[in-house]
Amino acid sequence: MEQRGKPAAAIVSGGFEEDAAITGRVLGLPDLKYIMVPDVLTGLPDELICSQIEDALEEANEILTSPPGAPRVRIGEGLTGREPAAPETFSGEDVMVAWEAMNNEWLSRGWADGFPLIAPTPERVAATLRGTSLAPDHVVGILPPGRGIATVEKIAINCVMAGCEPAHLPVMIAAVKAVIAVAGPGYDMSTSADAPLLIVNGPIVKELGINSERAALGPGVQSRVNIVLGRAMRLIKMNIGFNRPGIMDMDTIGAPTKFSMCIGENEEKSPWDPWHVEHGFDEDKSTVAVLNIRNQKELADMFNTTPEGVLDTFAFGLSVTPEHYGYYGRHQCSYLLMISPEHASILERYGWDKESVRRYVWHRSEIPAARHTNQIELMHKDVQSKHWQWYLNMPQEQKERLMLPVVETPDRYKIVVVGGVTGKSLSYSFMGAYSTTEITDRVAV
Amino acid sequence: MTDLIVLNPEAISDGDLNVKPLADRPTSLDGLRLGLLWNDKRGGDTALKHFGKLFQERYKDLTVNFYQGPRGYPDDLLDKAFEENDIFIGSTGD
Repeated sequence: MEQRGKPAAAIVSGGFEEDAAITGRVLGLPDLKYIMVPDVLTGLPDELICSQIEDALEEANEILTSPPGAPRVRIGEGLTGREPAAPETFSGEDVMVAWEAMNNEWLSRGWADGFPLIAPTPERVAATLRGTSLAPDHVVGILPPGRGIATVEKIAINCVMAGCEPAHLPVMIAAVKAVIAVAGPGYDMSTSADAPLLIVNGPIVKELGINSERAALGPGVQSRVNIVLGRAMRLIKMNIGFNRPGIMDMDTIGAPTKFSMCIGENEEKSPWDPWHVEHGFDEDKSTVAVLNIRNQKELADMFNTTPEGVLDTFAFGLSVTPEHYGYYGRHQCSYLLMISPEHASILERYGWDKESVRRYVWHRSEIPAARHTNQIELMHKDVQSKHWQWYLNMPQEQKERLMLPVVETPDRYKIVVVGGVTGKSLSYSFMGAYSTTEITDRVAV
Repeated sequence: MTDLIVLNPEAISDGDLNVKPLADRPTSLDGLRLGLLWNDKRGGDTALKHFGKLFQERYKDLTVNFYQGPRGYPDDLLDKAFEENDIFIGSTGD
């Protein structure tokens, strides 16, 4: 409303002050003021909420009735007060001491993921930029949530820090495009542990040595390319998207998945169209998709040798709603099934296609509707999806008898084939939209 | 001594290039329309409605309108609320 020209004030809870201040700034309102209350309100009884509002009334009145003054403009300052275009010098008795100083300082600024960084010297960045035909100042887009201007150079700098090589840069440029393509309001600002997973397809998987077999998700040397690509995504999100813990990333506990997640699909061992072909690309194109995943679940079955047996293992392991509100509350969630080659070969042997797999798992993972969530009934009636009102009005004993799938439609099971030669598959849940983007503008280096 | 020269990984925010001044404020809410924008999260509606009640006790002829939307507030809801009100309080985050 401020952007539209009328005065507004937002209620912000303790613990979210810095997030609120940065949010105002990235929206072009650096002097936006907030009505602060001590506690997050969602868990408080109404009388405590009202008490905190009464204590905040004078502040609210001041914000709504006092002249705002001229805005403080910070062009060229960068989020942490440093000139984004200017290089920085760290000195030491030798290069390792200087490098250590850089790492300590950058970690304290929030520019690092906690692991030692590769120093993005001008020479290394220049070498990395040779991996793309795009100009360094080419703007790939505006990266949420911090609305950072994602130039090719800034992406390259973060790639160097992650340990990427020049040939990896086009993958990360495409990954940034994939994020921007679907990021709406509130993207990457959750209090949940969302982690970006890169799924790479096409000839580039073998060309770059992206691991699609054993331990594709790491750790270890066999996945060194996967690891640096996934890490680059994390650093790009932090330094270009400003998705930093406590700033715009309000994740409550955090997750190790946030450090790095990247796989190549094992297209050779897949009996089906690979991910990128399923999403409309020719097989000879190279693509990357970025999903915001949660909830790792192993789907291990080394005994069953029929599709029904293996997929019952999947279904029973995934007999839980992937998101805590269930789909009655307008939260739509999906499952990503990372099917191991051994499980895929069992399904192929009996002629099961992806649609058969989806439908079977969807039906077999049904649970009593009452077990989907214990929260939706506590929400305001108008928050819930209107086409689920019939369920919400149902008596509890009927909810216990009614069996419903854990995701709303079968197409919410997405499938890739990846991993080593054992009957152990893996799943993650993910929310929201995703995009699969072609990797282009590559230069052989 | 050795110098290590490194480039800055941090982007400029688009917000810094498009700074807008805050809207002018009234000196009083007498006779105005106060829009309360709720983001669906539990407790936000209680907080906003209590603000509405308290401001109506303080100011004369203050109209209070309540709006509830999903996180992200769709444009049509924002358009409607913008037309129907002079000043706003909203709930954020969790």
